[in-house]
Amino acid sequence: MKPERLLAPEVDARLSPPEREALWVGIEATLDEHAAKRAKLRSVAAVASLAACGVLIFALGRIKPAPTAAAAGPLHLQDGASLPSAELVRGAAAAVVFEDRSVFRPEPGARVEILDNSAQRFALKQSAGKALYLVTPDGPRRWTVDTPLGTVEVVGTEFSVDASANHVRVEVNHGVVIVRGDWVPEHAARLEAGDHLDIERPKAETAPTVGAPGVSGLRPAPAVDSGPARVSELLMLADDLRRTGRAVEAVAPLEQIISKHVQDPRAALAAFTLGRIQMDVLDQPKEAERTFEKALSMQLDAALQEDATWRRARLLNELGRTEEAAALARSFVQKHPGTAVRFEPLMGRR
Amino acid sequence: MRPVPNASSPLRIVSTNDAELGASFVARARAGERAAMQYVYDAHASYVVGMCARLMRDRERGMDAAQEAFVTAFEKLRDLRDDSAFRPWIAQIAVRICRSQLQRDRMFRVVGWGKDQDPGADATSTLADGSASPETASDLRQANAVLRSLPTHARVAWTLKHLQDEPLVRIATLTGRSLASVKRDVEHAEHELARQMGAAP
Repeated sequence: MKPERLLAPEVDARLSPPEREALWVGIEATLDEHAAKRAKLRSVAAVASLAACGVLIFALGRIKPAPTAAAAGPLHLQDGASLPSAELVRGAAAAVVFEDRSVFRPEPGARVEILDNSAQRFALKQSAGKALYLVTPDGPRRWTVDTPLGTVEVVGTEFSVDASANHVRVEVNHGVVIVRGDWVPEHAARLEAGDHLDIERPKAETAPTVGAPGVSGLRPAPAVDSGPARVSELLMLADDLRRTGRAVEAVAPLEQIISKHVQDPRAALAAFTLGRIQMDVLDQPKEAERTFEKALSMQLDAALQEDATWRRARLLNELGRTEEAAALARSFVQKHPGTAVRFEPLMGRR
Repeated sequence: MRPVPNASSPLRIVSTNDAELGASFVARARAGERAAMQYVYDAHASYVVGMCARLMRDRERGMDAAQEAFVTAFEKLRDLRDDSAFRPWIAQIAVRICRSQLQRDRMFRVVGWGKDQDPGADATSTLADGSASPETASDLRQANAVLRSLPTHARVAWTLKHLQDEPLVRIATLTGRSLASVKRDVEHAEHELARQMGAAP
């Protein structure tokens, strides 16, 4: 056997999410320690050089002036240009960098408008598509993003919103967001780093009022054990378990949806969520790969297809099935050329 | 909809792709923003940890080396000229750190100082999933012993080529050696592994 084939599987080079987090904590702690030492050295040097003058000055290190509400005014772009009066972007796949270094990156097909732009508030309305937001922390403005099914409020964080008329997904990478809306569990949810929330417009609910915003027609109230209502319950249970750090227990309700309610359009979403738990939390690459394959075969929502395909390709690669991974990646990029950057490491060298 | 202050003006797009977005985060990290540093870290952590673990032949030592690489990178960001080239730049830092530690291990072995942390002929080798037949374990011990015996730059070059799958030109950049030297290093390592393990180069 060639030495590389023998040696390659000896060392597990993967990074699990807890290890990733722990490594970052170590990096931050070391940076803080070094910064404290440098500050101490600077103060000692300052004392030594000024002691002869009988003056004592302590250097406190680099201080970043925080922007104040009074000085901020409406938000502008990084180069000082004003923002448009209404539509921030329609369909453009480009990133926008603001003067406070916040970043907004829409994906093709996104529709985002500015509702309010002042010294205290920057309000957007995202009616369709997916966008990534990176909001500079400790800024003077409260950012809000209105979606068809809820409002996302942030102070300083990184999150993405994927919106359509019947489904909104909010994912938080850093920081905290609050999501409010009639169809948000308990009408408000707090999401922290690593959390996500899927808001669905209910297909069957008790006697909705005609004319209520976003609701069309009258539907009979679902039976207690009817399929769609049961799927909603199971999805909410799985979500609560994940958000409270009990992701392992979320496996059972998700598997129940996939096995017993396979015809429900949300079964694909359940499969996707299960795949993520198996991959990110349980470190079960074989199981996760099969689950993502299943999710993709169940006509997963277009907004999630890219992530599911990328995860499956990555898992195939880790399992040594590099040819399959490369073929999967190339096939997806052929249909979605805008994803080439993300899939490039998986497409293999030709 | 409430009117927004300031008349509209053409929207100027600052960046147009992921590479430029990543570069804007590197710039923010240089300014000291921790959230931006963490974003940059998240984007490159798997790659750096994977490379260090393979170079060190040990997962824990690889994580330690990766941590040191990120700390060094964030503290020396002012030296990075092209913000979109963060990955190759931190890769060079990581390779330098790993090579120094491997060199130190080799020196300790030669002079008999301190504790040798490099897994080698005396280690009980198993695969990452804990399995290994007696024959595989024996072959692993032998392969690791050969790697340990190689000059450090040859060991690093061979690992980057055959376990990290880097092209030779990139290995030259990562190690700071000429392409010709890297080719010689890899050939030397391949020859020694083939000779001592009886495998075809």
